[in-house]
Amino acid sequence: MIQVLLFLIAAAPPDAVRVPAGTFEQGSTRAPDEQPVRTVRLDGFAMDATEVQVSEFEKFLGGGWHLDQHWSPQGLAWRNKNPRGSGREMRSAGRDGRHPVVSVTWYEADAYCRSVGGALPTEAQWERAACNGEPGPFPWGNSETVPARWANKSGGDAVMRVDTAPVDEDKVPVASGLRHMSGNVWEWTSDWYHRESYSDGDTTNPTGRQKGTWKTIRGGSFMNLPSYSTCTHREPTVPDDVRLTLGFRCAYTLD
Amino acid sequence: MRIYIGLICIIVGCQEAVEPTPAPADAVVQPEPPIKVKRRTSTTGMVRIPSAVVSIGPRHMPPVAPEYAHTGPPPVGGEPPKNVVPSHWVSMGGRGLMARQVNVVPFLIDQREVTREQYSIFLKNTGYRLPHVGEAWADDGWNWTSSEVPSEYAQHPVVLVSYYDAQAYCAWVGKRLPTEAEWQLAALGPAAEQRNYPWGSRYSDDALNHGRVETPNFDASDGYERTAPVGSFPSGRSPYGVDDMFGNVWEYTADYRIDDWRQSTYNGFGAHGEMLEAHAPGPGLQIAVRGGSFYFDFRPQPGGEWTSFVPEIRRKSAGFRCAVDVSPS
Repeated sequence: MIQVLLFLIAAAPPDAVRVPAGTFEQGSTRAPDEQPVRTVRLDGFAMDATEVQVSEFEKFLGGGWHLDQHWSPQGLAWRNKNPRGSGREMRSAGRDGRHPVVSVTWYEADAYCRSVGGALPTEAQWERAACNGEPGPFPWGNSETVPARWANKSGGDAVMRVDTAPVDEDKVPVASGLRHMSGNVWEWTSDWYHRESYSDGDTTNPTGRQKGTWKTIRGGSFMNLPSYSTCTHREPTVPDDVRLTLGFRCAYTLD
Repeated sequence: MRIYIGLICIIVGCQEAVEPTPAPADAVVQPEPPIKVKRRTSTTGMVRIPSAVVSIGPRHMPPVAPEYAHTGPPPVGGEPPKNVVPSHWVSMGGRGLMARQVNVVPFLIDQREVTREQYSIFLKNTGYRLPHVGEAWADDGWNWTSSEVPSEYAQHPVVLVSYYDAQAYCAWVGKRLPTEAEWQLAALGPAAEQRNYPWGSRYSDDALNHGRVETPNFDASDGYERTAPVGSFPSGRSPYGVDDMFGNVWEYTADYRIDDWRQSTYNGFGAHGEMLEAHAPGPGLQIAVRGGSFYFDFRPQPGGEWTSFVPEIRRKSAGFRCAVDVSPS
C-alpha cells in the first residue's frame, strides 16, 4: 500500500510584508473602544501586501474550499450548511480578478488563510502593520485629500455597483508596502469584538477575548467617510455577515 | 501568487498515520461559537399590524429631472407590471424602480423608536460598540462615552447607530428590523387608503418633530430643536397607533435599496399582481431608510420621506425600531 502524504509547511509568501518583532502603541483617544491606549508586544509576522483578490479566492473555491482541514469547526458547520458559499454571485459582479474579493463571511476568510498556510491577522497585527503606532490617523499620515479609495456616495446612483479598486493599485505609496489598509474594502480580523478589549487581557500577542458574538473588521471601505478608515477604527459584525465592501488579507507567523 | 514550500513525502508501506496537514502554528485560538441569545421576545410595546397591500415606489411624487425618469419598456422581471406609472415619475424607492404592489403578512412592530435607555441596556449586557463617531460635530452632545445614558435623554430615540448596530440590537432582543413594505404599512396603512401622512391626508406642523431646509437645519418650532422623547406627538400617530413614523429620526429598514425588483425576494404574485412579501435582503451598498427626521427635512413629501444610507454610517438623525413575526399559533 502506498500512501502519499502531502506536507504543507507554513511559510509566508515572498511578497508578503515582514513586520519585525517589537512593541507599538495600540489604540487612540478618538473613540471609546480604542481606549485605553496600550503598549503591545508582538512577535514578528508577515502580512499580505494586498487584499486577497477575486482570482485568488476563485482558486480556493476550486480546491481548498472542499478540504475539511482548512475550516474551523464552526466554519465547517457553516460551509456544510452553505455549500455554495455566501456571496458567489455578488463577489465578482463583472469585476476583473485583480479586485479584492468581497461578500465573504469570516468563516470563508479564515478557511482561505489557513489554506495558504496563514491566518487572519489579529487586531493588533493589523493595526501594527497599518500604522505601527504612529499618530496617522491613516497609513500615509493625516491627509484626507489623498485617500486610498473612499467616497461618501450617499447620493449615489447605481446602488448595486461594487466600486472597488484593484488590490495593487497604488495611489498613495506607503513606506511599508502595504496597500489599501485604509479604504477600498473592510478587512476581517481574527479577534472577537468587545468595546473593552484593550482594558483587559494580554498585551503580548493579544488575540482578544476567547468568545463573543461579533468579529472586528478594520480599515473602512470605498463607501465610507475617512473617519471610518483610520488605522485604529474598530467595527463589530457577526461572522456570517456578507457585505459588498468587506474582504480580507492574511497574516503569517515567521520562524 | 501564493507560494507553498511544499514537502511531498512519498512513503511506501509507511504504517504510521500522520496528520496530513499540521494546523498553522498557533494561528488563531480556536474560536468558540458565537453566543446564541435565546430569550423570550418581549412583545410589550409592540403593535400588531394586519395583512394588507402597500405600494412601494412613486406615490404622489412630482415630475423630476428627466435623467432620473424611467423611459422605455417596463424593466422589471418576469411579466409586465400591472401598475405602470407615468414615465415622468420617478421612484424614490430606487431610481428607475417602478412602483409595485406588495402584500405584507401580519407582523408586530415597536410602537415607538428604540430609546437610549433601551439601547443602554443592550450595551451594558454585551460588549457592543458605543454610539460614537470620530467627527467634530459629534462631540456636541451626540457621542456616548459610556454605556450610561443621562436620565433627561433616557426616552429619546437612540441615534448615532448604523444599520448594523440596529440589526445587532434587534437580534439581541429577539426581533429584527422591519422590511420597507412593513414599515410603510405601519406608517400609512394599506395602499387603498391613499393616506399621505400617518395622521391623515393633510400636513400638520404639530404632528411630528421636523427640521427645516434652510440652515440652521434644526427647528424648534415643534418644541424640540433636536430629538424629542419618543411618543411626544400623539396627534401624529399612524392608523395603527404607531408613534413618530414621520419625523424625529430617520428609521432603518431591513432592506437594501435596489434598482430593480428582480433583485428582491418575494413569494410569487397574488391574484391582483401584487408581489407577496417582497423585500430586498441584499447585499447592496445602500440601505432603505424612511420617515425623515428633526434635522433638515421640513414638511415631508406626501407619502413620506425616502432616502438611502451607507449601512455603516452613524448619523445624529438616524435611529430605528424593531419588528417581529407574528407567531403562527
